[in-house]
Amino acid sequence: MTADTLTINGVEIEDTFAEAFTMRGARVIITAATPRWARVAATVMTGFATSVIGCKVEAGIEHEVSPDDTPDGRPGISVLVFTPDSAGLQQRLIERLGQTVLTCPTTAVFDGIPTSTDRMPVGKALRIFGDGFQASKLIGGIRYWRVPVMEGEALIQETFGKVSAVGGGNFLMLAETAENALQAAEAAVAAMTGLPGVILPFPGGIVRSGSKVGSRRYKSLLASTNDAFAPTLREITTTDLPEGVNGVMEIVLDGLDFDSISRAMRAGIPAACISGVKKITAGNYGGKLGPHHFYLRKIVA
Amino acid sequence: MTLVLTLRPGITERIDASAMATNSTCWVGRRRVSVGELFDVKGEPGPDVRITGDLRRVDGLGTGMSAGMLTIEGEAGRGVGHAMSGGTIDVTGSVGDGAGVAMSGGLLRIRGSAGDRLGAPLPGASRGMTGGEIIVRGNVGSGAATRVRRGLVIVGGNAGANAAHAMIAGTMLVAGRLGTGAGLWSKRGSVIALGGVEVPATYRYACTYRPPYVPVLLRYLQRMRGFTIDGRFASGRYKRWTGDVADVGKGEILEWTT
Repeated sequence: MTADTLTINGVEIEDTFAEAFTMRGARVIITAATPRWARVAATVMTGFATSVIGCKVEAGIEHEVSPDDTPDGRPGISVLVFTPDSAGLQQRLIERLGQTVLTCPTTAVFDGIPTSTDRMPVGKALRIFGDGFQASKLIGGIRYWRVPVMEGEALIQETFGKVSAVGGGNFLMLAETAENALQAAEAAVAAMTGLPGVILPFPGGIVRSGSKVGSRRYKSLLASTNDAFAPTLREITTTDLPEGVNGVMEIVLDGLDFDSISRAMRAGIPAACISGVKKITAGNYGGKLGPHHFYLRKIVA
Repeated sequence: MTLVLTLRPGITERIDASAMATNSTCWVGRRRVSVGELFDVKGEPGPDVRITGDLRRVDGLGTGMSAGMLTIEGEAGRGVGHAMSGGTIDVTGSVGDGAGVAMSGGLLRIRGSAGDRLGAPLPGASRGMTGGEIIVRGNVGSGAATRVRRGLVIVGGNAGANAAHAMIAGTMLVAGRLGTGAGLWSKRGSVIALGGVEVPATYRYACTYRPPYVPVLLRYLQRMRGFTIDGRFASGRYKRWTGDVADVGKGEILEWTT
């Protein structure tokens, strides 16, 4: 390593930064009679939630929650949900909890950010599914709604906390082959999975179709292919790919705060530095669009 | 700094201490007496107060309490925590009748037993307790949680006759056995019976299930109140009886089965 270069296992860490945006985030604790049903509910709830560009929401499983740490003593899963705006977060939670968790056998839903004073009346909205037969219980200053269902009763906390969060942390693995890039990304995902306060919203935590803002041809598109990193376009566009790179994968991170994403990137980037990887870099827009900048070299130093 | 009041020995008359916090006096019969004449006072006034001595004939301790911590060492007379709205009262022994009457907030913890009309309304009032928590480790007398509008009443032992009478809402949990007439004329309240209950004829059996809020309540009591109830009650099934059908009929008795 010199002042101008930083390598990990021979992989260059580019002197650049990932540019991220302010989002609104919430944490939902789903419990169920068994770990399987908690995971089923969490998996379905976080489906089709890879990017706000097309899904209006980004969501993922944060980690499992031990029965010792859940409000009802049952196995749980922690889910993080992010949207660009406050109103959207509440609406997405109502939709997703109503359609995917309220419907799932044995589940109950609790807020995972009790310290937040900014509350969303999500359970209060969902209670009316009970058609007037719903009832509430106030336990320790927290109101829960009991919604009668065919199974018996569904329980959901009345309000959920929301916080100012960070979305769009990222890094890219530039590799000799697409297979090498995928192996590196899988290793990074394995290193980051389960870390607190952060999710990787894309399939398996990995994006193969990284995007740039807008489109060079189709003006209505919010995002289009990141042609600078597409190896098939190397000779017909302005490329950012070094010689010998034939495949790129990206990992996108959303977190409840800056430090959560930094911690995860610190775990993930070194794990991605495996044989066949040429360089680790990150996506940014010159620092003009997002206030949160994750400098790769600073993070892994 | 804790303010410690120790009742002087040899006082045989009943003492009404309901005005003690507001004007530092008590009633002894028809005489108004300063606190200093009845109690040895040590420490500085503050949010933490401890009262000791033979307090069995001292009534109204903690009346109107709105904040702070009051520890009553040993047994106390009637009306402990009367109309309290906040703070914590911790009684290490048992208390007489009318504890927590007209209570609207705070925590009243009784490590012994309590007399009749725990958390009930004042005579003629339409509502009993309207908020807060009462936790009694031992038994309670008759009429506990009468006309409760909101709040938790937790009983570690048995409850006397007519518990949760005409309950408007709120929750009463009894770890022991409930006496006759439990939940009669209840509108919407919940009675959780862990140790057996004679369900009134005006309640109707609905189903046997696992009410999901019960484990949340039991865990809260264990974690936040140090009140542990056997784990089988958290995971067990309950018979749900709805009533009182002679009134609104939206109340419930949850009777633990297995």
